Amino acid sequence: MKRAWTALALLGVGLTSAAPASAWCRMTTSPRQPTAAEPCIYPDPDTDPPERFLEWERPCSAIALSVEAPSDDLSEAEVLGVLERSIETWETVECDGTPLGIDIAILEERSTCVAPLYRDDGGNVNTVMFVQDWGDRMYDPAAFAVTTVWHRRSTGEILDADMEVNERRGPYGICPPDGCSDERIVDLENVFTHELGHYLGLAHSAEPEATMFASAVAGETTKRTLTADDVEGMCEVYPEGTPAGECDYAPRGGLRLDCEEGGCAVSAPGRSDARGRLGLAALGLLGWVLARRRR
Amino acid sequence: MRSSPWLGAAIAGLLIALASPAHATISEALSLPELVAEADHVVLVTCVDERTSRDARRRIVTDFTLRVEEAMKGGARPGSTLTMRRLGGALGDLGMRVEGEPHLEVGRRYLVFLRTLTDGTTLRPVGMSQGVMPVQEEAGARMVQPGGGGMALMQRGSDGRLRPAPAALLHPRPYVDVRGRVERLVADGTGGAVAP
Repeated sequence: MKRAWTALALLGVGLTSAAPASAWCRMTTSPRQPTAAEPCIYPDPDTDPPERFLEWERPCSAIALSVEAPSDDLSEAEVLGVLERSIETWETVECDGTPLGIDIAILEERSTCVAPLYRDDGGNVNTVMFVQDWGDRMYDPAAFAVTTVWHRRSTGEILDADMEVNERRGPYGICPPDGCSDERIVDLENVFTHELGHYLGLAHSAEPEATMFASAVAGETTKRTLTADDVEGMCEVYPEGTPAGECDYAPRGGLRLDCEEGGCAVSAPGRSDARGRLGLAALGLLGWVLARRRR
Repeated sequence: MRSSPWLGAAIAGLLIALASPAHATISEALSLPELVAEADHVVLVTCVDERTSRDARRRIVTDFTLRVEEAMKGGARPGSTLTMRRLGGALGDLGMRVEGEPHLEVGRRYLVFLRTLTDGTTLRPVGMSQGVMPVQEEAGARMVQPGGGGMALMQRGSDGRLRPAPAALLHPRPYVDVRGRVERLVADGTGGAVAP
């Protein structure tokens, strides 16, 4: 609706071009991909189940670094620092003066996952990992990183998001704000900030200056800073008052820091009511939360 | 509503010179010669089936069965089938999504550029969605549509840096023309063999 109004306004001021004011797109449950004719995919309500936009339905989530898949180029402390700044970039978005209602923690405990995984019947963890066998994972060799977003089709709820960074496209580094003079170095914050947009439910934008534009060059740092297009998109995904509910960093099925078969998640055994289970899971997480960024 | 339509119009006015009609891409742009060179199979196909499952890494993947109509590179014979794997899909109520992966519709025709992975069997599109070009009938002519939907195409310059670049096809092209170009590229030494 907002875009329709904008288009009408454009006609009203006599502009001949129909170029949209915004280029951001949201991720959806649809299998369709953007085309020249349809640069943004909008949910089709006539499918079974009806297609939905993707979004987190709870305000808090947590990310762990994989201890089994560390960066070749940066120390763990450096990677954590970059991740924290990238998260803060999105958390400090304000929509008409109101802070975005999203809180992403970084877990002090490390994940041992080396590949994306979501268990529908157990615990999970959102993991950041650095990958050597990029080709074996069937990813495009030109990509810096891929974020795999697991979601509930019937509701569009994002359940889990795992970020893999392509070590074959490094070396990764921390560039000065105006970019790296060594153009071979890939600025990790540039990559993380883009991928966190996917983590939160944004698809690629056609705006070349946007953080969510799908490509970057080595040494670039411009994606560290959100454009109006990125902010507008994020405010559309999470309008004021959303996501609603109690802050609980644990995933729906509990927190589990490994991706092995069997085992169990951090949860509240013997408690059947959701409120009690979530509350205890949150208590279990308190000791693991390394940092919570505040606006 | 967070902002008035007039504010949107004002912003649009400011940005209009910057607004780009380009469609976001995620990968390096591959020219037609590069698509051909990197492909083990270049084939005109009809998608006849799709199946979703978990792969050995427990990811959700979708396998598209492609019936070969014409082969420009590789040993696939007309009438045979190839299986192309896409990352993502849905199993029951659980979905997995990777931006930039192509999607094919059963019953539709495509020109696909497929690479065989190191396992020797799995076929993947070259350059993600760049390697999948829809083929449609338009006014009695068979036209190849550009691939790369949803991807911001980049190309590496002589200095080694990536820069925005056009896709292998900028506009729909007659299939006979594209096929001719592909066959010349194969014949010129990209190492492929035209199927009998």
